[in-house]
Amino acid sequence: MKPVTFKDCAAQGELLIRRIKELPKDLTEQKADNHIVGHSETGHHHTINQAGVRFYESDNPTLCYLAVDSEFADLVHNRSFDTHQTLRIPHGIFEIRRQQEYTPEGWRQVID
Amino acid sequence: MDADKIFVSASRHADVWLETIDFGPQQYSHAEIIDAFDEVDYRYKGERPLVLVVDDPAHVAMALFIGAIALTGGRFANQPRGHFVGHLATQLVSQTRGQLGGQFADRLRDRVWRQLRGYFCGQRRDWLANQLTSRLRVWDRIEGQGGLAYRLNRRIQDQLCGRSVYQFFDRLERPSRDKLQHKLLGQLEDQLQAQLWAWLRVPLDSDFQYPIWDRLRGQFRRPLQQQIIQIGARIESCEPWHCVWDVYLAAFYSIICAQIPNQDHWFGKIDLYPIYKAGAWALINLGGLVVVVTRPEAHRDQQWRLHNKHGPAISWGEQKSYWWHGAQVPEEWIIRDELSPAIALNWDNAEQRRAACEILGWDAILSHSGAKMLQRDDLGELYSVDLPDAEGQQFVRVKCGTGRTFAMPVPNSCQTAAEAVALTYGLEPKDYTPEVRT
Repeated sequence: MKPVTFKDCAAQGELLIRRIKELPKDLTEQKADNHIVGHSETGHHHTINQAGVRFYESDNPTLCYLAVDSEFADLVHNRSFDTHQTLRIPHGIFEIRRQQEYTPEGWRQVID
Repeated sequence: MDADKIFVSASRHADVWLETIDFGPQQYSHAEIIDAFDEVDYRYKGERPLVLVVDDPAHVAMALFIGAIALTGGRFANQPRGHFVGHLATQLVSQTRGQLGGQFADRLRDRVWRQLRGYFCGQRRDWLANQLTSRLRVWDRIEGQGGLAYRLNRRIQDQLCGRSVYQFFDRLERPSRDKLQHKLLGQLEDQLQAQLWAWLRVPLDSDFQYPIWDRLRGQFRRPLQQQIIQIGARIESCEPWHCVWDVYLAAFYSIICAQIPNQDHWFGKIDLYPIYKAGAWALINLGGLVVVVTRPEAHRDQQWRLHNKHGPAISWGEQKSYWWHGAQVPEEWIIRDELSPAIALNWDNAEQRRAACEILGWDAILSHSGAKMLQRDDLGELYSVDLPDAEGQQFVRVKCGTGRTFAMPVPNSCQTAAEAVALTYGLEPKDYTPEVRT
């Protein structure tokens, strides 16, 4: 399947990617060859595995950031069935929101 | 040989192996697996070994024990029992010292697994790689941390490490122990000479084997542990025919050998394919004795996802694992009628919650829980459901980019499905504007 392209905002499973103007301050860059953008208990992570990308976690576990310095970066869902199609994230700066759900105790991140 | 020909050769070879890699919903015949050893050409590696087949990897320890006694029996048959026990212990320790190296080492499995995956995943463009990788991913799911195969391998490794090997008989109930022993002995009967077989029946049919086992505990444990510790050093030089091979490993080396036909790689000359085709998953080879673990039964849906709505999707001996269209679920959801709308809608894991809702059926969920649809828009449907501990709990029912339907609990203050969906991302509805959803 060809990667799906977009300009400013797209969703892949429980992840929502939105273009922003600049990165917030005081973020720590996550150094890795394979960035796990969306974690899955069953190992079906959403990942970016290519150069030209800076990935940042924040104090809020449902919010992370991405700077795509290269032409694009592919966000891949690692599952062989019911696969969320790959998103081709264009050059730029993006926030990535991880979906939550409501419980009587408050919001919690969606677990899959 | 030019590259195209090499590749075609490898493709054909791999295609044949694919038949064995596909686990199917079938029981494998012990007799057919044992017979398949007759088809192997032993010119390169001595004589045909003794073969014991087990359906459950947890039974490997008993098979190894009985097999080891069978291998040493002829030499000690005429000696007094006490003397025999001492020699048997020495012999077993000696054998394990020389032959257990490389067995069930995580490092070996991990290394070759990465090799195998990397090799095929690097050729995604062609159909062969696509077929293999899709199957390998299925295996990934079974094999991953917490997966059935991983846990079973840990159990086997624990047993071989000595921590629980001597507890194995104690844990098995006597009828189960006798049944397993009977099955294993039945397999040996046709393979042993009549005289040796007659000898073997005597000690194994009596309680004599248990005192033997008691005596062996102290002497057997430490050398085994030492062997396992030394495995790391032996991995690099392990010989394929003297260690543990599973169907993926065998397929990998077989295919590699097919690509380099002029290289004098002796393993490539031993065709183990008939054994795996007959139903073997792993061969634990001690030289004169091979313990075979049969492949698990696996049930899948049309999209190749693990699935069985009537029972376990994976059965490996006494080990069972239950799946619903690719999501692992508790046993009671499948084989007992213990799933209710309240359990389904309150389940923490979203994938399993979706599976639970599908098992019950959305119509049943909505009708039996007194759900009321409050609103509907392009993003989904907003429901109010009376749950035992949460009256009027609101859920938004949405369809994700893969076409599957999920229910997500949202605050009761939500007025629309769009508002509810936006809130799950911490946004106002006006800010939730995805151009695409996959």
